[in-house]
Formats: sequence, C-alpha cells, structure tokens
Amino acid sequence: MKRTMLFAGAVLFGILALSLVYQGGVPPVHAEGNSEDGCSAATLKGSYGFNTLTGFVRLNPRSSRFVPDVAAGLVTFDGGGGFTGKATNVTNGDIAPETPPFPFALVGTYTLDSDCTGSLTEINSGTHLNLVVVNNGKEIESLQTDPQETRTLEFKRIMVGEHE
Amino acid sequence: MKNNIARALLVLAAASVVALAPIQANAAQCSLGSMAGNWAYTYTGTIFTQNGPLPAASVGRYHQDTAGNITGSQTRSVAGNSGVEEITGKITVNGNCTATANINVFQNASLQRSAVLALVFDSNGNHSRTIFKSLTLPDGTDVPVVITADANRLVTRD
Repeated sequence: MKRTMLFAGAVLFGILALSLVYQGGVPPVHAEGNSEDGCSAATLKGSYGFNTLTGFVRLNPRSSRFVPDVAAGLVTFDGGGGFTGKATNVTNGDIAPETPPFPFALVGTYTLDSDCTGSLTEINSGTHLNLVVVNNGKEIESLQTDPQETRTLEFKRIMVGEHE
Repeated sequence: MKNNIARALLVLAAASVVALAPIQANAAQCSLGSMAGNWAYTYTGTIFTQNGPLPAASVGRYHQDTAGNITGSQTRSVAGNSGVEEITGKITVNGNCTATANINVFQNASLQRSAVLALVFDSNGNHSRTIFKSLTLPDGTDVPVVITADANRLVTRD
C-alpha cells in the first residue's frame, strides 16, 4: 500500500514538474538587452552583422530612375554611442571581381531613447538611419533617411551571449 | 489493497488532466490578448504611380493593446523622401494566428492614407509577416502597392 502511494506521488510530481516546464513556469533567463521602455546607448554593445532588406538609390537626382543598392557588413557598438565596422556595398550589380571583401570602413555615432527608438550616423558614407532595437537587444530594424535613398537594413547580434 | 490502487490511479489521472490541459491550449491559439505588447517593424515595397513605380520603406514602433487598438509612429521613405508619421488602427486576430489590421497614417494630425493589412503571427507570437492588401488616400483613391512588412516584439516572450 505504502509503495503504491509513494509511486503515485512520484509520478504526480513528475507530471506537475513537466507541465510547469512546458508552460514556461520555470523562471526564464533574460538578457540584459532592452526591456519594455528600457533602452539606452548601453543596450547596443557588441558586434552585429547587417544586410539590406531592400534598397534603391537614385543616382541622378533629376531622374526618376532608381537602381538597386544593397550592402552587408559588420558593426561593433561600444555601448556609449559610438561604433566601428566594415561593409560591402553593391549598386546596380556593379562590383569589380577583384574587390576585397568588406572594403568600406565604417565609423560613426548612435543614440538610443528609452523607448528603444534611435538614430545612427555613419560618417564615411554620410548615411543616416532611424532605428528600433527589438528582440531583447539582439536585433535592430532600421530605415535610411537620406534623400535619394530608400533602404531598410536589419542587424543581428553575432554572439547572442555577448551582452548577457 | 485493490481499492487503494484504484484510488491512486484515479488521483493520478485527474492530476494529469489538470496539469497537461494548458499545454494543449498553449500549443495552438493566438488571440488579441496574447499578441498585445510593444512591436517594431520595417516595411519595404513599391508604390505604382502614373509616373512609374516608386520604392517605399519604413521603420516604426507601435503599441498594441489587448482590445486590438494600435498606436505608434514611423519614419517612412518614398523615393528618397523621408518623413515622420503617426499611426493608429485596429487589429483583429484569429485563433489560427492570421490577422487583419486597418491602419490610418497621420502627419501633424492630418490623415495621409489608410491601409488594410493581412498578417500572420509566427515564432511563438514574437514575430509577424504582413502584406498590404490596399492603400487608400483620404479622397478615396486606391493606390496600387506591393509592400510587405516584418515586425518583431521589442522584448521577446518566452
């Protein structure tokens, strides 16, 4: 009798523990990224890969013709409003085969408000982005705001544990 | 003895039903309540005008409450001209995680356009994919567009 009740108790405990795990009842481990309305410049610290989701540029401001313009690269945010990086840019498919990978040096500044929106200025190319940090600081959605350019870019943290 | 075993098994069965039922409930459904929160998005696409196609893109942030009300702001760029706009709207969410949203876009409190969006929530309710079904100017003119959007929660749910 005792053995039966002990066995039943053990199985019951197992079922309850399993249900807690499946329902997310175990306290989650949170990154120190953004929380609801809790971003600052320090939210962005570490290396992010980025690429253009879609991009078009008007090479001649007097023309209505836009051509594809995309980029990919790496940026490292210092957590204090600055960043460095490197990128490859391709405009209308024109890139020489001998071009080394990521030939463009990136350097600039960024700001981030408490609601996780912000802006970024890349000095060498004169690029300006409006951005929103999402997914606990692991990703950035952004839009280029410069005249003659219509381009969105997405950034993803390279090492997820880097800022945790 | 037999009675005790039967009683123990009965307790076990009842406990199993109570403990595991929420797992099945969690597995499938989306609702207005579960999709509420703070979101950010980008959209990109093409607006077709009489003078030719124009590239369009945007980045923005919005809050969605448990009643489906949406409020937020965005920076949009159309053919290289950018501007800041406010958005309001209403979303309905179906149990299969599809949704429809009606969004109004304002600049300095003046209505610029209205859009009807079709959405699907995925990634355990942390991400959505969207396509514009229509875009209408305040005078009722329908503007042909092909625009898609991706949205992510600012803070991912576990």
